[in-house]
Amino acid sequence: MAKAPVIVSAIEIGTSQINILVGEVTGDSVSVIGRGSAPSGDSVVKGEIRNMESASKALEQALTQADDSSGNQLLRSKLVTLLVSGSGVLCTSGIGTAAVRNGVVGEEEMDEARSNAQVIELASDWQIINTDDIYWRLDGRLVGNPLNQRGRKLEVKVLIVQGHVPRLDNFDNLVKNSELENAGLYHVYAPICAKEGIMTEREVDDGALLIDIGAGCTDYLTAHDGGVLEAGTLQLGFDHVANDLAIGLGLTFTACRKLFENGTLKNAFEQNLNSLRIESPMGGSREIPLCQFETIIEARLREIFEEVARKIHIPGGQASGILTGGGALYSPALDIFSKVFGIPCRVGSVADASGSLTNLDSPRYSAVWGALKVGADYQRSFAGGRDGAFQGFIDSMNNIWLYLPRWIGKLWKAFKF
Amino acid sequence: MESIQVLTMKKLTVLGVGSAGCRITGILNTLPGAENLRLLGFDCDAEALKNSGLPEENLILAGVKWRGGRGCGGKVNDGKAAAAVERETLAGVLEGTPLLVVIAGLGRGFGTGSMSVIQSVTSKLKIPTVFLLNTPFLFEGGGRTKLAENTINCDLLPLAGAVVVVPNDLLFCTLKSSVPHEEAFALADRVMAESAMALAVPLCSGNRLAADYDTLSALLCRQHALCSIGHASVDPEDPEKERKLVENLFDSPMLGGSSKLKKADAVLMILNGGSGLSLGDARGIFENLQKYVSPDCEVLIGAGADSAWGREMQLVVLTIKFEKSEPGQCAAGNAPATRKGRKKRAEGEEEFQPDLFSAQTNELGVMEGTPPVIVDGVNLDVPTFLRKNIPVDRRN
Repeated sequence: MAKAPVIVSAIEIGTSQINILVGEVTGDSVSVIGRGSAPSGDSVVKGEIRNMESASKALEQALTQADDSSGNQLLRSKLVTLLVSGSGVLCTSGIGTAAVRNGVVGEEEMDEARSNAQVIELASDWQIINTDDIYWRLDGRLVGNPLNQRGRKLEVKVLIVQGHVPRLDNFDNLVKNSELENAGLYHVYAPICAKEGIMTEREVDDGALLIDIGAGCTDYLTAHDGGVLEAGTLQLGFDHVANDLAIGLGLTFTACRKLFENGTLKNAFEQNLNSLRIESPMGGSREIPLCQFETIIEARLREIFEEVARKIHIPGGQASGILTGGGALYSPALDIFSKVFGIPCRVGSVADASGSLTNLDSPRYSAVWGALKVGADYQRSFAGGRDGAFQGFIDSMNNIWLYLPRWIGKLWKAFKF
Repeated sequence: MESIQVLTMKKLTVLGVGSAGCRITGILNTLPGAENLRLLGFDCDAEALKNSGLPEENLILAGVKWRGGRGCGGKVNDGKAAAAVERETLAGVLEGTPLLVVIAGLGRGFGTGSMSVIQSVTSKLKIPTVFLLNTPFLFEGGGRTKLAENTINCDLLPLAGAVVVVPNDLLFCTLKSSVPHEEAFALADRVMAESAMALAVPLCSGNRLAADYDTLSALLCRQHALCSIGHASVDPEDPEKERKLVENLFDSPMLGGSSKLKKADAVLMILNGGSGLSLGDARGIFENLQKYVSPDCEVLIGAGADSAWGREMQLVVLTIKFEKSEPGQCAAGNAPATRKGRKKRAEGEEEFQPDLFSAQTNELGVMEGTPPVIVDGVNLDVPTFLRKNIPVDRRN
């Protein structure tokens, strides 16, 4: 019996949209085989779940879409990577050391140094969800990878992502109450996912600042010399921009949000229009000078970027910027980014996706694509194991039990009077 | 040394805003020493700009594409929108200015509407700015006075450095009611121009005593104060110069008489003279003036000697009377901007705590009811353009 491919999926429960990707892990790569999305409605605010019931409905809708597009492979997911962000996540760092016992650094010493670095004072209800090496020092000198190098004292600085357990539980419960109840759950901090999704190795080495502007939150991350230096989240996003426009121009919030979502504003700026005609739902229309939009948007975006600038240091002399997330669809944001940080900037979108569904070129999918890659890596590293043929048989049997109730349901619906 | 001084003074900019501001700046242009200043006119009315008599290259016609140089017909919102269009132009013109004096008459169209734009441009460029403002006569109606007060309280006081508000009604203190209407206005404009000149130059070029821009800013920022300005000059060789200077000062039409000095919470006195100005002169004149101020009054004095003054000794007195009302009080819907760390000076009042949210609860939109995003005590859910006083015409 042929070995059944391992299925992993990634879920992003965002403020404006829930995105799901289903991937098939083969060897060292992951192929996208399914995708689903649904508007979050009012269920998520500033990256946090506000209404479990409506969030659950939106998730179900997105899951059904993903399952259908993947040919009913979603429920076979061994692992679900769940993106987390918002005020329930905190990024810190720790330094750990280990003595090199045999004079040559081994995996054991590296693990010991890492685990010492993670000994930090955790507030109650908080737990460490991700760690990443920032740099290694061997006898005081910086080294890329200390493995098998000679030395006496090994030191590592580790990025530690902490999550607020009750808020993480909200996300977990949503997934566990869905059809993915049997899959393993793995939390990953959203900016780390975005980095995995769109940053090139060269950018990570030379130094880069990544900003992912979503509807409710803005995630940021700096990387240099192959590792993540800083990361964080501001609870400010494009909903703030839309809200500012709504208040400033006397429009509805929904109308303003749509101007970004359907690219109306972006197109108007690219075509150098003088004004924008806004149709009122009550009939009639208003002609609003484009400079009014520009003034309000620039003020807010500049402020968001300046807030990020206050919290980070641009690494390296050749650093570049990457703007991603739904906010990157608004092209004038790139100029503001470059002006605030003084570095060149590009739009970060998925470039290396493979599989039956590869049209993920919107910057909206950067983080969820990164999460799928992280999940695939995690699956390969920690959850692999059993014999292929035997595993294939078990998976096939599991599939029957997973899908049997659904098939019966569909049959029942088909013959129902 | 003298050439260095002149160079410094050349950069000092006076911006006349609106028809009244341009008119006053035009008069300033005719005063001796004006060649050392950069005088600019800023209005959306092409006719008013032209009538100011300022050189054409120093005129900034606002919103010309939109208003066509027609003026804004007294509509503050139109004035604000026209000024907002010229933010970039204004920033380009003002960049590098060591001190800016903005002169405007409040209560109508462009002068009132453009204040928040000018304030935001100058604060962005970090230009020390003194706003020298006229408020309308009471007989012009409560509406105009209210507009002027709202502009001062909401647009300027929370963020601007120094706001000197001189009510036009001060003219009634010294002028007889039989003085023709036109003459009274012309006199008021002239006094404002002379005061601006006398006040601005020493504030920028520095002086030997305490009164400088920072002192004035520390005194006036965040506090609603009514000011009056007196200006007098004498021949330094006159043996009775001390007495004559004080007498001339009290005759100055925008000072409001000696009673203004007595009632003032703070007084700024600046004495300017030629290189022959002696310590004894300054001492004598200031001691003479001290007799007219109350013992509780905060007195700031400044003296500057420069050969540019030649054979003239000039005294400028700014009286400041703080109002009891809370700074930042605005009409409904006009959210005040705030600045941290400023304290009230008036006796018995507690330190001012910026109340960021009370006036802004209606300005949160869909963010209302969500956990607020507070950074350094500022609620970032409130639209940025509101907090930073960036003008937006909501009526389009």
